[in-house]
Amino acid sequence: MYETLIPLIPLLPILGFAFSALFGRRLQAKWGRAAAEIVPVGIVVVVWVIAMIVVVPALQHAEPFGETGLDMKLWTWIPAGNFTVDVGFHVDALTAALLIVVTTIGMLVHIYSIGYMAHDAGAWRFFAYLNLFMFSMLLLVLADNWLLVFAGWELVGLCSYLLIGFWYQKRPAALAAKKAFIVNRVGDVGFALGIMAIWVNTGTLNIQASLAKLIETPAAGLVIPLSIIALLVFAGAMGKSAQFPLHVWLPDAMEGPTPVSALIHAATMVNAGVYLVARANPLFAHAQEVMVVVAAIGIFTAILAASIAFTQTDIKRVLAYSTLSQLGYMFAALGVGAYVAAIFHLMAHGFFKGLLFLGSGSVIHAVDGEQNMNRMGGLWRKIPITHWTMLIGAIAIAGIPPLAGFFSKDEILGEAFKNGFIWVWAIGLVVAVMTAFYMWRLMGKTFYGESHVDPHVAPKIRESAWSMTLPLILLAIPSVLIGMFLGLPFGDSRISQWLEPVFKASEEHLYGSPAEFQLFGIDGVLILISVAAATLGLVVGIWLFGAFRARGRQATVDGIAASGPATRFLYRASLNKWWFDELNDLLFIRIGGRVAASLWWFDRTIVDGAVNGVGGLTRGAGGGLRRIQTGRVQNYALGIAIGLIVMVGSFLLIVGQPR
Amino acid sequence: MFSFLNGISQSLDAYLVLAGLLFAIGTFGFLARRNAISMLMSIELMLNAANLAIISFGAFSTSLGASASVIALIVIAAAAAEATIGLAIVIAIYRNKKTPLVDEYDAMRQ
Amino acid sequence: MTLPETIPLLGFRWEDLLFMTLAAVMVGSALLVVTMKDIIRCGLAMIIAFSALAGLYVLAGAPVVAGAQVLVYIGAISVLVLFAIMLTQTKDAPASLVFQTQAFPAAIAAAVLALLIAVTVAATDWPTAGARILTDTTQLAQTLFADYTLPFEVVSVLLLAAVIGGVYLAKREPGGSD
Repeated sequence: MYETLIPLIPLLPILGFAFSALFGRRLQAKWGRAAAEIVPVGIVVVVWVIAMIVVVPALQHAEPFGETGLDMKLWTWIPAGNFTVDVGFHVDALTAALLIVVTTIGMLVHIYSIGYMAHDAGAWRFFAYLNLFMFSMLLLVLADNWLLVFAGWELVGLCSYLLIGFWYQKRPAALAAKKAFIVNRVGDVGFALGIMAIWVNTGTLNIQASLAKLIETPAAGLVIPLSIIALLVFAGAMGKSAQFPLHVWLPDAMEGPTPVSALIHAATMVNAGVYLVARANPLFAHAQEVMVVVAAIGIFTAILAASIAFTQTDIKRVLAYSTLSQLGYMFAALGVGAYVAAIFHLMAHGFFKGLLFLGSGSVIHAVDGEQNMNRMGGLWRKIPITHWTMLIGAIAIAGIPPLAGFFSKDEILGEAFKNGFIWVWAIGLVVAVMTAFYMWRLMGKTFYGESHVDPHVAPKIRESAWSMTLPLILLAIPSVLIGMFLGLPFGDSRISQWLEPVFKASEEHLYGSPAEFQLFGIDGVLILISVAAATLGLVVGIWLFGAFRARGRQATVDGIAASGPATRFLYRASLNKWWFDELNDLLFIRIGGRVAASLWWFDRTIVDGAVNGVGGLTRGAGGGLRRIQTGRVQNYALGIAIGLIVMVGSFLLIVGQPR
Repeated sequence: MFSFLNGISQSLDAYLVLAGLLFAIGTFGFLARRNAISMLMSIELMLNAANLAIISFGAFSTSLGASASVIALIVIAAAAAEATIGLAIVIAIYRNKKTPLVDEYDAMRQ
Repeated sequence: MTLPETIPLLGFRWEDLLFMTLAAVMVGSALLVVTMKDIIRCGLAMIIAFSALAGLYVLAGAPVVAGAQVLVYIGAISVLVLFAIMLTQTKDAPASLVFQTQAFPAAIAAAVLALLIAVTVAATDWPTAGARILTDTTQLAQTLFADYTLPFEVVSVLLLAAVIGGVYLAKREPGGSD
């Protein structure tokens, strides 16, 4: 039965895409939006159901999945002798975890989009792209060989481009879509090189087989060292998951519709990089230098993004930088060897970040398109469902127990400390404080205190339609519960039981068998410290930005920001995103542009000049020789006479005087 | 005083050099004159130069004997035929182009 | 009174004097043919050149050819040339330019050609008899009509063809020539 169910999971969305692409416009024109939406949304709901049926036995290692997962080969895609690639699926506990996130949030985003796109003429196109995206992401997650993963990888990049630039008539949106695609591409080059390196070393592209071969072969037998391959694969992950320095595309991607931000840039596509590194965990476990690099980049991105989120005024930008920061946490977890914690955080983050984004979309919808938080405020009574669900999301991301974020974040920090990465733990703690702080800043400015809403907009504020609020409620539930469900009991949590077979070999290779969980020992102390950090951030945030009826102290905020030259500089740096876009512009556009211009000059003048010169030379020679053809007999006769003289003369000279 | 010229008419070289000189003069006339009939006259000069060479070979070579004169006579006949046709052509072209100047016959020019 | 072997003052024989006179006349008139402006005068110079050549033929021991030269060249071809000149005269004065633009290169080429021939002739060792051989007319008749019958007849046909062709080409009829 599973053999038939599993291929349906990616198949149905691609059929939905084809249906919407072919018939969507006409359906919408003739019978309204609902007619065009029913098929794509229905398909995604069906896929969710199927996924849930598949996921349950997979996570519990029941038959036919077992510990190593189920392998299915559908057909041979590229039969080229040595280089043979199949289309096949590999479903194990890791796949199942990702499937849960992708299908659940995908389904809720589809339902949400019905209400969000209620006034948009291009709704049919939106749902077609969403279905295409579901297909691509599911393909990526289910694939059993690197090439198929790469195909899904590229396709999600394409969908991201299409969806960010959905309102393509707006120039910023078109530019943002281009930026996302190009920056992604930079990472993709690394990934492609990594795939080639894997093939060169092992001769197979099947994920499980190639990984097994890679770690078995001794270092001398490898053409390309493991650390290089790991770095290349991580480069791909950096592009897709927006780690420094390829993080510049994610904030700009907020030009797309909010459901897109929620689905792609919070819950699914950006997780592809995390999934990739987790999938390749044997590779990384045997290249520990690269793991340090991964952890360093991850935690650096986390603190960088958190610092920028302090000063942003666009509500979606704050959430975008928050996503960057949490992704950094996930990579830091992968880098210190806390694989289970990374996936746990991936799942929890998917839910509460998706909730936060969809909620922000609802807020924007309510204030008639305004995205600047300085022009909001005092909304908590007017849009209650949105407010309470977003409050749950904010507390969850801050890491307050017993909500989801606490369990996953604490596990990351705890593992970092216990595996010896004290610096990761310390920076991560600071980021936790910052996270709580800027999230409450968002809540305070948006919902609490006095209203700074535009007077024309104020009377129109009302709660969104049920199609938009229902997903919010549905997402709030796991944000509260999933932490406890997956993360307990401490030390041998359900999720670690589920994911154990995938990561066990690597974890043992790195650290030996795990130590016992000591609630009243080191682990308990770490938990307390994490909670204290989160609470500290929240308290400072509440004091500065208000809660419920209490208004914030904006004057104090401005005072702190302007207090000394150092803080003024930090404020400006944060506001300007640490000038990375300007740096990229200088390096690649200006300097790169000069280099390109000089090369163009070279090509134009020298290469084309040479070619044109040959042509010109020929023409000139032809023109010159043309004048010999005078048409007059006497000129030809002179030619004959000269020829005769030359021949006789040379004969005399060379052969010698006749005797 | 000019005793080095003694016996010059007894040597083949002088006749041949004379023939060559006449031939060169004919060549120059053929290449340099504008009038078509001048060109034909230069051709006659060249033919005569050849004739002189043949006759002088006949004068100084025992093996040739009377054949040289025979060849010369045939050359004269051929020259006459050629002059006839050539002049007829020139007259015909003159009727067409109204000029006997060859540098104005440029229908073959690109 | 017998003439001395060599001319007293000049030191060469009479024959040599005759040879050089004839040669000078011939070359001089040939030069006049190719350089004179008035084309009728060129024709007349050509006649003088032919006569000098006939004299040279006699000196070289071929009197029959000399006679043929006078009859054919001076008597027929030169007259033909003069008639053609008359028929193709332009109404205006003779063209101002006598020579083509390529006259100078042509002159150089001609000079080089003459030089080449002279050098070749001088450097060759001709296997020759000492004195000139006088061609016997009987011998000539024998050779021409017995040994060279075929070329003789062919030449007759050639002349016939030339006559017919010439008449046809020069006929005064529209569309009759090209």
